[in-house]
Amino acid sequence: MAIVPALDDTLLVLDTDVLTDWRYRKPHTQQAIRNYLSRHGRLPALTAITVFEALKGFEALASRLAGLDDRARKDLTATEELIQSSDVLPFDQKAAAIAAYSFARLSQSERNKHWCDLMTVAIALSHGHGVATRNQSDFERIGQYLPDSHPLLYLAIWKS
Amino acid sequence: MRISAVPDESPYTPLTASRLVGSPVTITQPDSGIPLYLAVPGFPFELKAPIISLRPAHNAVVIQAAVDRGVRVVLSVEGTLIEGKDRLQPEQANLRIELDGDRPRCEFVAATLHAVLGLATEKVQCQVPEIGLDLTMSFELSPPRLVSQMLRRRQLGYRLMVIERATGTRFTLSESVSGADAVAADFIYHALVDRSFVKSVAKPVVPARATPMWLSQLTPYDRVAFRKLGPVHIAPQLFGQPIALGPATVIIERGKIQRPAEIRRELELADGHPVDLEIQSCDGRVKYEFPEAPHLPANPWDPTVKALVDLEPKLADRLAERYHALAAATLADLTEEEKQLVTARPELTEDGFLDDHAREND
Repeated sequence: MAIVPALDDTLLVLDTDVLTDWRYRKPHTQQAIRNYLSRHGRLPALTAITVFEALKGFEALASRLAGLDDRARKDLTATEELIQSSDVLPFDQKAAAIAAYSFARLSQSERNKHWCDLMTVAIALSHGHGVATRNQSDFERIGQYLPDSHPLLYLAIWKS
Repeated sequence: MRISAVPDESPYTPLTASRLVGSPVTITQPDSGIPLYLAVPGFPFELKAPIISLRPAHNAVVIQAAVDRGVRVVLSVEGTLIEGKDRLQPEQANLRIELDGDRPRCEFVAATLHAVLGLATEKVQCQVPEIGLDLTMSFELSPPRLVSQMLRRRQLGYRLMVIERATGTRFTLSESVSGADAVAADFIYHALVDRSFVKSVAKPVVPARATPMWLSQLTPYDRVAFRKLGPVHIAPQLFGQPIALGPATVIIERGKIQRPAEIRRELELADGHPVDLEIQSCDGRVKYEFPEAPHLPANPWDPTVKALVDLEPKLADRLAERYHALAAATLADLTEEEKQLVTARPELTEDGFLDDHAREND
């Protein structure tokens, strides 16, 4: 039932905020990705929830514009390519059980605000990964409500 | 989990030159052992590989050269025959890496070379002066995921080479390497090279013995405490071989013994039988010290391997650049307002509906 710092050997998933920083070419995120690649020979994984969030953004744009123009379609294609270049961890039965435990113990407002983060944590834990994020406090809150089966969440804080 | 190391279908896919400039090649059987030169700008690396065979085909020539033991480079050049059909004007070419060995070194060399070629953004030069071959080729960039796969194969091959040299063992890679063997190779590599290292482990298992020393060393049994355990003899199995690493010390800052009463009863037997201790590390980290682990020799590698080992930072930099470019391309053509919308985090409203605008890129 605790948050602990990720170590060099900890496999990580990218939280959506870190993915967004990377898409915005934030230097500290690029450096962290480079260092991770050097250690592990692969990118940090994505969770199915982060993939949902990334694709939902383009669907929201398509909904607003009544379709995507060539510019937006090009960026969507790049997003799909980035997803295909990554290991995507699924929301499976084990993740569902972890998420159920934590979800039931958060307040209503925390559920509303952090449900994607909660699902990210559940998927990461179920696949033996930690989370790379810039929102330490949000994940610390979720980390207070981890089940006995997965009592530790490894957290890497990637921010400038 | 299984990590494919040498799968049925080779991952060493041919690299096809998308652009090629070259002078006519004389199709002749060259003297045995004349070299093929390969230079990849941007990488501090030049290959000089003795030619094994030169095989003329219809409007083509296929040259095989030995890169290292068990690793070949195969250059296929197609074009138009000129000047009495013994000279070929190159028009297309492809290059592929072939493995006919199953040793870690083969894997390391082949994966490194393939990664270098897959990340080459500038023109690659290939020469066999004795037959007038002088090609300047631009290759399509390999998908970053394939290069990433090569870097992992390279890393595993290198770790196994280090273990072989330090411990005098010898491995052959079968069709696939299990996840357990990959994890063992990682652990042994750090024990040999770093000798003292910290791993993220929530519940390590420490091999103890039912002796008075262990009985007293584990107090207090019933609460979280600093644990410095040893000497412990850890000999991980790698491809079925136990690898002796010498006596180790296991340090857990905040460790809690699992099933303490049962463990205590077993240790009190004091008959020396093995007892596996499971200890919960409350901060998820365990430090291992292997002061007497075997050492690598002072200069373990020949110039070929050393040159390929030294490419590591450059390979990571180049691959990271590829991934950074791809990540940036996901927003490159959008307006600032569109970027905000596309990267907005979904929240639930009090009514339980998704709200796209609640946390726009906070």
